Amino acid sequence: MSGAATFAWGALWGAVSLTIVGALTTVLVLVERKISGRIQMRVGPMHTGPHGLLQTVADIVKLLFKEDVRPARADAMAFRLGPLLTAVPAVLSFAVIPFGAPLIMRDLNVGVLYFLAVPGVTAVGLLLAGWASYDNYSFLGGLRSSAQFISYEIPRTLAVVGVVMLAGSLRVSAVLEAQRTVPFLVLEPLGFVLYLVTTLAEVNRTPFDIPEAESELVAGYHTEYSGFRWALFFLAEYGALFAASAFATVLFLGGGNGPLLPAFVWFLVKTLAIVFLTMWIRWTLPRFRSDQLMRLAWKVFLPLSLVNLVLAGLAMQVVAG
Amino acid sequence: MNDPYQSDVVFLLGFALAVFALPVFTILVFRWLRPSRPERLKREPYESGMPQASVPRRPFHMAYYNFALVFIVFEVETLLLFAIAPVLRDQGWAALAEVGIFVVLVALGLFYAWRKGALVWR
Repeated sequence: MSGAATFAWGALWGAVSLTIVGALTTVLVLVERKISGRIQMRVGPMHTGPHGLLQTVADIVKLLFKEDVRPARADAMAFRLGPLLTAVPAVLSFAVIPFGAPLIMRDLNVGVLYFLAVPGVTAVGLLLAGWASYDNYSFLGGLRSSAQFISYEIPRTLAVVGVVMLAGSLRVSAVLEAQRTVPFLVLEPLGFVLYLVTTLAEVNRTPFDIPEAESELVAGYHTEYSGFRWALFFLAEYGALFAASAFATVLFLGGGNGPLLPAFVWFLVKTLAIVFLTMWIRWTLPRFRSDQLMRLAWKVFLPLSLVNLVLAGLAMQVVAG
Repeated sequence: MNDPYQSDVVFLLGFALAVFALPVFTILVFRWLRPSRPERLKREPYESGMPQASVPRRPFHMAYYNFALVFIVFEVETLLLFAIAPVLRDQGWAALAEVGIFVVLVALGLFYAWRKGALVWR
């Protein structure tokens, strides 16, 4: 394929990914509202459409036609760039998600590293949005988010290094191939737990939702945003949540591997199970305090992830024989 | 363009362009469709309905700086591991022991930062 054709092909899949993330956000927000309702013994949205099924569709239409309010003293350029830099990396990570055995947009030779590196840009987006808003709550929210984001990035990355060692490749398809008989969850249970918990922190979910702790920071970094730009933050949140859950499936649960059903179905079932788990946790557990959060990252998860690395090395030798 | 790595980069450039351009395009289109009635009070930053008590452009907590420094140290060490992790499987015990020594050094660094109090949120 020529350069221009590859470029156009990439752009096409970019548009497809954006559509997927949009649809996912629409569905997941509704699902989350329904689940939270169930957990808190409410019914959730009920009025728009049967059982409130069209609620988020209506919300999106409403958000598109909302006024775009910007604080007078906000840094205009950074204020506009913030939501984009938050949402775009989350969508970019969809390029390497294997939705089924042959269904992967681009099987990069550094796919795993790409998945860890690209969503990292989100930290910059959050900081930028918080700083640009010229609002004390946003400012604190932005600072806290990026501090939390970078702190949990290290144990999370180290947990993935263990998987890379076992798989012997950074290519997503090779990681899946290596799990054809035994998923890495069996060889590396500690790594799975580490990945899952640090992922909660990376996507700002309770019990790690300090950046947007409603009771102390109003809405954190997106306090001053409205309309479509505000929607972009939610696109980022749910896109990143799905992508991270998908990668938990890829790295530890064997991706689409499974009996009887096609790979695509297995992949979605496993991923959505993890998404459900995060929602369940969110509506059950209270929130950590800011200093507890940092202590947990550096004094518990980082040492544990080093231990996990040693265990992964031993497991690797046992498997390799 | 037969080099797969190069074509991957081209693909991702196209991908990133689309993902970045489409939201911008949406914002621009809806600019003509949505209301825009800015007024002074609406454009004040939100502070629970009060006038802003302090300016958010100010020095912030020293601890952020500490953690940023420690982060850079450990992130670079993690990246070094990525260089060797994919090929480690077929190298036998000796290579694993060498990486083990590296991990111990990282752990010593962590221990040092810990004892120096760099990991305390004050």
